[in-house]
Formats: sequence, structure tokens, C-alpha cells
Amino acid sequence: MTTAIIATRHWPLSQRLPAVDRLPASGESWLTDLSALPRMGLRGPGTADWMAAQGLPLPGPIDRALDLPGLTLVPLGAEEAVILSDPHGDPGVIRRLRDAWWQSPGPKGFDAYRDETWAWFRLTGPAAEQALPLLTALDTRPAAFPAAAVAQTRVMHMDAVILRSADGGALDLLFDIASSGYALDFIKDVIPGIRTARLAG
Amino acid sequence: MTNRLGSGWGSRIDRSRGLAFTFEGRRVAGHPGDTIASALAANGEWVLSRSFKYHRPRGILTMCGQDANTLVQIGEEPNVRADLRLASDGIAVTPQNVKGSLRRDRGQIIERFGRFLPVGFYYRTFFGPRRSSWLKLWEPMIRASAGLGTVSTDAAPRRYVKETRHCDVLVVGGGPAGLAAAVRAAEAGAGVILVEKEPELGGALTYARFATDAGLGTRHLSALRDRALALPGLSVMTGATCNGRFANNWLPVISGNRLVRIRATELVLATGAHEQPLVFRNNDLPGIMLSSAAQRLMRHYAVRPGQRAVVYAGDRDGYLAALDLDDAGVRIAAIVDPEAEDRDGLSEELARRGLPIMRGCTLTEAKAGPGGLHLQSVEVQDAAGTRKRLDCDLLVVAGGYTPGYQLALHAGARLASDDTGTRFSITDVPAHLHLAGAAAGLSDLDGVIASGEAAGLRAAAALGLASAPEGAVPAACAWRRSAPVEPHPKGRDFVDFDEDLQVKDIENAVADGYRELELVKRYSTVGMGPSQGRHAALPTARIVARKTARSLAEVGITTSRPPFGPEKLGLLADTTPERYRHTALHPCHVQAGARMMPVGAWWRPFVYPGSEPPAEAILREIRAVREDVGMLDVSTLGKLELRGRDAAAFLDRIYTMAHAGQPVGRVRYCLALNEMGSILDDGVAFRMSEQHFYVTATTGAVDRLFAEMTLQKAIWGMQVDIQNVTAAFAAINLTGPKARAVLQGLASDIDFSRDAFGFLDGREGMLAGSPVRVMRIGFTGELSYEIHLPQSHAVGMWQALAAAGAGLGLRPYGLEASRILRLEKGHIIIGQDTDALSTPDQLGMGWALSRKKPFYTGKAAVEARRALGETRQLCGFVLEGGNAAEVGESALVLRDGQPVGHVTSFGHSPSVGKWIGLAYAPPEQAVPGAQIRIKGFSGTEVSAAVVALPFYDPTNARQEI
Repeated sequence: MTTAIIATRHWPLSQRLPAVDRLPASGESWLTDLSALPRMGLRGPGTADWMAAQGLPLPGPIDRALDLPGLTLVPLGAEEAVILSDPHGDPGVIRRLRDAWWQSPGPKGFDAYRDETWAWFRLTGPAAEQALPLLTALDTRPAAFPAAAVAQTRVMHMDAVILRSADGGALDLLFDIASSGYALDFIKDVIPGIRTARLAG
Repeated sequence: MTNRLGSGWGSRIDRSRGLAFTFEGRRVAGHPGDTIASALAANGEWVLSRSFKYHRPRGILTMCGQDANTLVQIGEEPNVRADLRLASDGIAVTPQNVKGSLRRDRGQIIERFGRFLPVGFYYRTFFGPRRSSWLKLWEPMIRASAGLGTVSTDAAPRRYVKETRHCDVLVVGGGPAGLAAAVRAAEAGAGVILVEKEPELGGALTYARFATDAGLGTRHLSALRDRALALPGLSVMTGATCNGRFANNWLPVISGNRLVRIRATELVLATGAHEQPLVFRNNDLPGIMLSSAAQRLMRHYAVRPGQRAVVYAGDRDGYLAALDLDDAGVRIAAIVDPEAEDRDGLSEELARRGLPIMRGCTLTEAKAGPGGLHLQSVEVQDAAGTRKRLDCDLLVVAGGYTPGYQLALHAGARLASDDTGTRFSITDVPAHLHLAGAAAGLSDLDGVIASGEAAGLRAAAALGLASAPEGAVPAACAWRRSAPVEPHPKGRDFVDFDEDLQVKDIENAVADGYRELELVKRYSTVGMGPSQGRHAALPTARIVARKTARSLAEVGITTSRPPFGPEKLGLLADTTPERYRHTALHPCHVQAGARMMPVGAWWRPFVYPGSEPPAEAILREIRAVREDVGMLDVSTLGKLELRGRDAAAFLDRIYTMAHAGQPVGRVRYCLALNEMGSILDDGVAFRMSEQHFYVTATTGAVDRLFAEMTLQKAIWGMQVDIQNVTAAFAAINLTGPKARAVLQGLASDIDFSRDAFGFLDGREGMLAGSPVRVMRIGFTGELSYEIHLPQSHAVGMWQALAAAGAGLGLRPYGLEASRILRLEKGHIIIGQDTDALSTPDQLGMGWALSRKKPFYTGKAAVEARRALGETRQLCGFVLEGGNAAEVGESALVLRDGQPVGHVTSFGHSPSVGKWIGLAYAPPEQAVPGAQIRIKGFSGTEVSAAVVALPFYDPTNARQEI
């Protein structure tokens, strides 16, 4: 006997955070869980060439992200990058890119499973900026960590990627997905009163 | 009676409001802004504590937290510095180190036995009269006397905050030099943080007098403060203590419950100078304080420090302090100056005020009034040896200064002094560190400010923001007048107040053979108390120099190491939430009522008790696996992706078995050794394609294994991408005779039939709508499938399996059932059945070592250790009957009464109906049929029969159905 079941995806904070349709308004202090949003990571030989062939050339400096229509390109190495979808953009952009990758012959890098390995948090608002020194030992002064900057460092005692948005108003954190609950607890501890939600994706 | 001064004094208190607290049960009135010590002084309470050894009464000495006399307890909080902590309404303050009351301390009787307590006495005492005397008599007595204050073991947890900040220039010290340096650097464009431990900027400018014109300091302060506050690039932290300097200008700054770790490109130390007390008989009496302490009491808190004062002018500041006292209405009995001539240019003003000066005189003794609680008079001796008694209730000592050298010495600099101890210098200052003010050797106000400006400019220049100033600001005058440190024939001339060490104690340490200062320190404990030698270092060095006929330069001064001041353990600990990791299936376990347990940072289900007692639930879970089917969340298993041209060759080098020739679609056991030939980890490798391996590792070792692989890949220069995907993939172990039936009940493109999917096969495909990697391996000894899938699909898969298995008796099972199931099969757990010395041969795993491969990590060591022979072997054993002896894991295996091994795994097997276990034993005893002796935790020894492994299903037929 076979049982037809439609697979659904679940995310660690589904039961702890209320779902919202849109990112909170700028100016307010929020933690928004974007883990359910599409993203794609590639690593290894062929990554840079394949991405360039898709019109997504890796930015020269590894510590700078690049905003393109519908996505943000985050370089992590000469042959490694993660592509984040625009939370309010076309959700199909990443899907189409992934389909193109599957259909491409090599070398094209390897799938880094970034939609599964990492949680994705976005911090916005003045409290978030003020709390940065409590979250990381990274030099986050505006001159050292400007808009579109990317750092692979330690945040909340974990390895993490932290990037500042192109407009400087948001901070994105990518880190071990199994530590999602811990990270939520940590941020609520050091930023009392921060509002929290998740984008359902 | 109040000791409050009128208006014009008390810059820190708000007289329009009041507050009250208790000290030893007595009500004390004060004002907001008062410290506990200043409020007590205003109320005539001058005794604050009892000294460590002799229980002598102690009072205000520095009034800035640089001595241990003011340590008090507030409720549950011990060791509070009363001269720093603000008083607040309703707090209950109590003294420390007191037996009875502060004024009638029974502990003071020990002072009568002082002759039996010479320096280092504890090295020669407490050995008798009997062998048991230490444990039964002395240790309890000493333990009861030890420490200052009382620690509450059930105090409410406090919150501590840690943050990290970066700056271009960190200036430590907000006095005139620090303010000048910070302003200059910020004006040049640097991002500056200025740290000041007092609650306001200004340092000595807030309390000291610099000339006959009492307003000079205030005018300088206003000008510097105004400039500082107008600079947006200058961030000020007051009430913050810089507690050390670590490599590359990494500095901890403590402010209340907050630890701010600052990384500075350039560091300016404007740490000022510490005024020094004088050594003479009874120099520790309440009522004897430093000149700066008296000035702080008056200017900050409007407290009259006494009614009738003698002032010891060991430097110019003594005269200036006398002018302040006179302005405050304190009668001056005399100003005692060790110099015969006027060197300070103040004689005219002093004469105009009618203040008597005794030149060429020294202090020999202080005497207490009735009860011994407060100063009543001092004895002064002139150059001819004539002595005179002066009645007073206040002795203000201007004994000169030593520079605030501690942070500079933390950075590797050295403190040096001339032979008279009147001039100091800090040398060997490392790069990116600049000294300013007193730390740079200056002691006159104009020089201090100029040196601060120069230091700020040098820091800015190092950042490329300004031109470096030329030359150094010259030191205009010495630090102090040379004062003798001679012993008084009756003693009680304290060199170290914290440790109650007198001049003779230091002399006796030298006489006992300890000539070097560092040894004198360790032998006598001088400088080891809360003050950390701030006041004891120089006089100790001078005594040692005198007794060893050496110069002060030859003796040196003991070094300084972090921390600069006391720091609570909470600041060092982490009070943020403790790290934990949850698998994607965590909500399912919680919903099913699982009892969760920590495994490192992970949380895993121990058992699903339901309505049963846990022990019965565990048996039920084991039965389910043996008779029907069970599922276990094994998502915490380490998972590594190895992809690339050299993936197979790389695995061949890392692991002991042959992987280069491993067929695609097959799963092979992996055993990793270190270079000593000891077992590092195990797992399985699923070859998914020619250049793609999916490798599992143990939960606890995956990070170490990944790091080792990354290192070796770089060393060998191989083309393989290695990624730790442990959290990305969830994993479910479906095991039991009906496991296949469960999977065949789900939609899938994988053929799970026995012929199509054999033991040690691996398949990739879709199952219940999710992409999966399935391996047919076994840990339980039953038909098993380990299903790996993206973690976001795990909950759906768990629910699909539960639905498909509902009619087949499918149950989730936890770690304890898993532990017993694998034990019944004799499977080892890395880290439990292995240790740092475990070789494959000790575990009977020679079969896992390839004989054909020319190399794998640890091969040479394995062969070398094999040639040496083994001293232990892991074997299986059973206990006949019950476990009355309470055998358990770590129980010792004995031979002739001596330990020769230990039990590594143990439990009751429902499948074979016996207590079974694994243990290390001598090889000749670790053979089936032999007996081993085990000592249980009840203390009883029991014999156990060694048996062949596995305990259950010896032919391993059940896992291959």
C-alpha cells in the first residue's frame, strides 16, 4: 500500500514566533526570522565562473555584498557565495537559479545547502544597532563595517555571517540552524523589548 | 554631632535631600551623593573594619578605594569598598572580619600573641601536637577565620553584561593629563574613548589644591571639561575602571555590572599617581589618612576630617592640604616637615595664617585614645632626637607619590626609581602606548597638562592624523621627600596594612634567607592583599635594599599583573543564555512527552515515558524494536560532504578501510585514527557518485574530525571540498523486523525490497515527498534504515513514518533504549568504550584495518604498538543472577586486588535476560570462558563470565533479513 503525502517544510521557530506578511516598518526595533525564505549557496571549483555566466559576478572584495534585482549576492570566498532572496521580491528568482544550476553541466561548484544549514535573522531598528557590541566582538563602527559590508566572524558565541544592508538599516545574521532557539533567546536577553516575528516564506 | 562643613564644600552631595541606612544596626544619615564611608564620617563613625590578622581597628586611609580598610558587607554582597559605593536609602551595612562588634571585637585578643605569629609562621606551625591535629584542630580554626566577608550560597542571581567596543585612542584616566590627551586626540580627528574610575571627570582637579589660590584647579577643570564635552568624537565613560592591559591593546573596563572589552589602536595611560602612607608605630589608627583623602572628604562630601590636625608635609601637597584644612576650620597643631629648609615657597602664606611648622622633624609614633579606636596624639622627633607629643584627632600624611604604574607594567614596561625613592620612571614602553602626566614622570600641574596634550598628539600622529610633538615635557620636581623606613623598637609600624606586616616582618624575611624581592613577597605575603602592594611595594623594596646592602635600583620593585582592581566572578562568567541546539524533530519529541537530556549542546530524547515509569517505558521501547519497529532521531550525528576529484583518495588516507575502490551505492564502515594509532572516531561513508561521499561521524567528534580533515586536505594539497553539514540534514533510524513494511507503505521511487536494497546499500531518491538519502546499516542488530533528509523536511517525514507505521506497532524510542540495543550487539560507542589510548586491536577491530593500503593516518603507529603487545582488551561479560554488587560503568576490574581495567558499558538486557557489559581486562583474561573480578559500587567484588560478542543474535542474521 502506498500513502500519498505532500511534503511540507518546517522551520525551528515556527511555533515560537508569529508569522507576518511583510517586513516590519523601518525605524522600529525588530528581530525577523527569514529562515523560510529562499536562498542558495554554492562553493568549490567552478562557482565563480558559473555565477558570472548567470549574470551574477562575485564582487571583487569578499567583504562586500551586492544587491541585484530580486536578490543579494554575498561572497564568502573566491569560490563561495550565498544568494539571499529579496524578502519582498519574486520568490521564483532563487528557484529558477537553482533549476538552472541543476541543469548545467559542470564545473559549477557544489550545492552548499545554505537553505538548510543556516538560520537567517534580520535585525532592524535603533536597539539592534546599539546591541551590536553585545552580540559580537567585531568592529561594527560605521567606518569599519559600512553599508553592504560582510563579515564571517563570531556572533553570540557561534560562527556566523553578518552583513549590513545596502541602505545600512538592517543587519542580517546567518548561523547554525540548530541554534535558532538559542539565538532568539540570546537576542531577547540582550535587547529586552525587541519585537519578534517570522516571514512565512 | 555632625562633621559636615558649610556651603562651598561638598561638590558631590545634594544637601536638599537626605537618606538613611544602617551600619551594624546603627542609623546613619547622609545625602544623595555620599559614599557609605563619607556618610559614616559625617556621623562621627571613623572605624570601618578590623584588620586581617590582628583585628586592629581601621578607618579611612585613601578615600578612593585604593586600600582595604573600607571593605564592608552590604546584605549578601561582601567586600564592598565603602569609600566608593554610594550610600542609598535602607541598605544594611555591616563590618567584616569581626567577632562580636566592630568596637568590641573579640578577635583583637590575637594581637597579644603577635610574637608567636612572626612572618612565615604558617610554614612552621600546625604540624602538631598529633598527626590528626591539622584536620581536627587547626584546619577548622583557620577556615573559620579565613577570608573577608560572607558569601551567600543562595544569593539571587545577578545579571552581568559584556560588550565589545573599538576605538582609535583609549585614554585611561580622566584627570588633567587624560582630559588634555583625549581632547587633543579627538580634535585631531581620532575616535576617542576616555575612561575615568571616579563618577566625574577631573581627577585631582576635583579635590586637590595646586596653589595658594584655591580656585586654580577648578578653572583648569572647567576649561578642559567644556572642550571635552563639545567634541562628538570623544566618548566618556565615568565610574569605569580599566582593569588590565592585554596583548595588542585589549583592555577590560568595568563599570558596575558591565564589562566593556575595548580594542584600541593607540593607548594613552594617564593613570595618575598613588599617594603613599608613612611607616611609623601605630600608623594604621583611624584618624590617620592621606592628604588627598582629607581633601576628598572636604571637597567632595563636605566632611570635616577632624577637629585638630597634625599635617606631615612629605611633599608640597602637605602644605596645600594644610591650607585647605585651615579654610575648613580645622585647627592645625603643627605641620611636620622632614626637610630643614623651605622648598615649597609657601612659608609666607603659612605664617600669615599662623600655622606652626616643625622643620627637620619626623613622626615616630601615633597613640590612640581610650578604647584604642581613634588617634589621640602623635609623637614628633627632631633632628637632635628630642621628642614632643602633639594632641590631635587627625593626622594628615602627605607621604609623596608613586606613579600609577600598574597598567604600564601589564604592557611589559618597567618601573624604576632612583636610590632615594624620590624620582620614578617607567621605561620599556611598547609601541602604541603613550604615557601622560604622572605616569610619564610629571608632578606639577602645568607639566602634567602639557604632557597629556603631547601624549594625545603622539597617539593622533600614530594614526596619521597629526604631526608628532618633538621632545618630552621635562619633569619639574621630584615625587617626594625621602623618608626613612626604620623599625620602631615596639613594632606595629605597618608596611602592609592588608596583611598586618610590620617592618620587622620584612627584615625577618630577609634574615630567613629570602634576599630577592619576589621571594620576600611570596614568603611574607606582602602586597598580596586587596591593595596589591600599592602602598607596600616601595617601603618593602627599601627595607630589602637596606638589609641586603644594595641600592633600590638593584633590588627593583615587584611587577604588576592584571587585574588592577577587584572584579566579580560574574563579570568573567557568561550570564547570557547557555548555548543549546535542537534537532528539527525537537517539537515532535516534546509533543510526544519525551524526557529530554543534554548531549553536549544538543538535547535528545532519553525515553518517551507516556504514562509508565521510565524504566518500564525503556523496556517497552526495546521490545518494540526487537519485535516490531522503532524510530530514533539521530539528527545529531555528524555529517560531512566530501566532493571533488580526490574525494575517494582522501578518504583512503583519513580512514583505515579501503574507500577508493568502494562501489557507488555502497556504504562502508569508517574508522579514523590519530597519528598515535588511537581511535579518533567512527561512522559510515555512502558513496553517492564517483566523486561524492556522504560521511557520518559521531555527535561528539564531528567538529574535531572536520577540523582534522580540513588541515590534512591543505597539507596534502588534494582537490576535495569538505563541508560539515551536520545541522543541514536530519536523520531518522528506522529499525525492527517491520521496518521495510513501513517504508513500503510510503510513496517512493526507491525499491526497498530485500533483493533491491541489501545490507550496506545506500540509495538516493524521494520518500513521502521529500528528497532522502537512505542507508541500510545497523546499530541495533535489527533490519535498519538510516534516513537522511534536509532538516526542513524532517517533521513531515516523522509524521509520515508514524502514520505508515501506526498499524505495525511503530514507536519512537530514546537514547537509553538505543544504548541497550547496541550493547546487546556489542557495538562500541566512541568516547564511552574508547579513550585516548584505545587501539583497534584492543577492541578486536583488526578487521577494520586495511592490509593493502600503503598509508592511512595512524598506520605506522598501529603497527608499532602491535609489536609492543597489548596490556588490555575490551571484552563482553555477563553477571549471573542479579546485580547486588551494584556494578556499573567505571567499576574497576581487579586482579589480585589491583585494578587492571574498568567497565565501559553496562546494563540489563531484556533480550537475553541478563546483566551484560563491556570491560577492559588483561588480554589473557578477556577470552570467552574466562572469569574477571569486578568491584561494584557497593564495595563488593563479584565474578563475571567473559563471553563472545555479540550477546544477542550471534550470527547477525536479523539485520540482514
